[in-house]
Amino acid sequence: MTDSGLSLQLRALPRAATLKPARRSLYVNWEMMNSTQKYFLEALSDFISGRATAVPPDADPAELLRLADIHSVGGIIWAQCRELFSDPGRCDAETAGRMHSYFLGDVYVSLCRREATGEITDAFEAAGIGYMPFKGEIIKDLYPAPELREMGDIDILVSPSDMDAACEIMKGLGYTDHTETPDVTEFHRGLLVYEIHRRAIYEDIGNGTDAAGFFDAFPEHAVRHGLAAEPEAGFHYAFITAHTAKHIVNRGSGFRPFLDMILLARKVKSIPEEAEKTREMLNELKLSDFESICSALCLRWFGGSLVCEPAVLTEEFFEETTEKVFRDGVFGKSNGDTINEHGNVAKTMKRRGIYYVIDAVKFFFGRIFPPYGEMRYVESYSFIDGRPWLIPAAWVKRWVVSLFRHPGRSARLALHPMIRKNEIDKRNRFLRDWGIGK
Amino acid sequence: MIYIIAKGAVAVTVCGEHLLVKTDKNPSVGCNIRQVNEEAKTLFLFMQENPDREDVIRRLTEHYGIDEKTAESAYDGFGAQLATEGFAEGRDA
Repeated sequence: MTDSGLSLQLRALPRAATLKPARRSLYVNWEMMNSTQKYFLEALSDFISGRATAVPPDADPAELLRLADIHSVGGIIWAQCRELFSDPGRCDAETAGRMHSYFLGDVYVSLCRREATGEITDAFEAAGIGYMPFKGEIIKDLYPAPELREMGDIDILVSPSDMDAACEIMKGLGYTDHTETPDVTEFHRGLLVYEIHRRAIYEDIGNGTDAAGFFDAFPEHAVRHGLAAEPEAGFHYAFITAHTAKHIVNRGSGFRPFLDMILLARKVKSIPEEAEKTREMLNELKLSDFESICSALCLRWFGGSLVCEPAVLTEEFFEETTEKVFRDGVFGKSNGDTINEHGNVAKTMKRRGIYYVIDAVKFFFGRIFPPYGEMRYVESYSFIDGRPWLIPAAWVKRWVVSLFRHPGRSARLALHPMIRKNEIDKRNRFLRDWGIGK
Repeated sequence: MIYIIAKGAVAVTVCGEHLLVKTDKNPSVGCNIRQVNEEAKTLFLFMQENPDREDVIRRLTEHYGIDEKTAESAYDGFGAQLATEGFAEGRDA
């Protein structure tokens, strides 16, 4: 404090507060939505609507920290619930410090990422490469505090013909290559992770549509500013819906993707013709029912609906789904659910009776002779990418590896639809309830 | 002594919290981030916009209605802290 009253404070934060705690899973058996879980949802809802959140008398800071951690909303929860975390009578110093570290870590990484993204796009511009950031990098700007929208990575779409040059630029900027598939290459530099895509999506979402082919039209649905492009809100929304469906089909999803959908839906709905176009796209992708169900869930969780009319939900579905989404964490990475283990198999097994047997036989032969479209994405067989005639060599390599390294596991996987039929049926009922099943 | 704000150092306000962040090309855990009050953030921005000592002091006196001596003292004290923390570099005037 100076004589005049001009106070300057630069507060060094304890080192512990600058470190993100390791992820851990402490989930205990669900009984019903407790006070802390309700507070968690209210805090997220209030955050995207710019409201303060009243602290309930029995909120548990440690449970709030756990939820914030597995749902990747630590910075948001700290900012929204700091009254609780800064009360030493209600929150211990370790929990308070860890929550604060989420907030600080989010701000720090987002600012580093902003500079790094600028460096990458400048390099792309200099090389004449067109580029379009999508997903979180665009959606974050719809959040009241973009710095707090956590991102595992930044996705940038380039044209297939520019893919190699874009990857070389990334390496030249000091990023290390962690190739995922021929369509997506992941690059790391410190905590920064970038995914350079030549296709926006390459996986089947399990509802019988060619979502990957549909979203190959992304460049035609983008607003261009020179070499930079920004996805049209409606097309991007359809993509985010398909992406969320993919996570539900595969490993599950936490609450954050639904916050993204609410914020993007607000933008889409602000332009009536864009909303109508978006509904048509969702219909074409057979995702209207899924989106209506998401809309009803978002209305119950956060008080905000999506683009389609909210579906009518049974209480049983709402409770089961809320429980599962709480448990799943951001992309289902935090659960130990056996139901999710059967997701990939269930995608291909949508029929009943004799059709199930036919699908099971097809599945078995599909494991022995996987198609080129699947094998080219597996790193060990990437030598066939662009050379489909080499697929017999990939099959032979696969048989040898399976026979000598893990014959039991390979047999179980090939026979999965026969020996785990009950679980697959359960999984298919679950997907039908979500409006994703065929 | 004049203080030049380091390259990559930024001041932001997120959800009402004023923060100074030193961005890194290879960010890692153990990040360089400090919480400041609004006055410190304002001074940081003045120093970043124009590193000229006299100009910063003049702007401080005008902005806060304080005398020159107080502004000089604030500049020298805060600048030294920034230099210690790696957010600025001190140079002889």
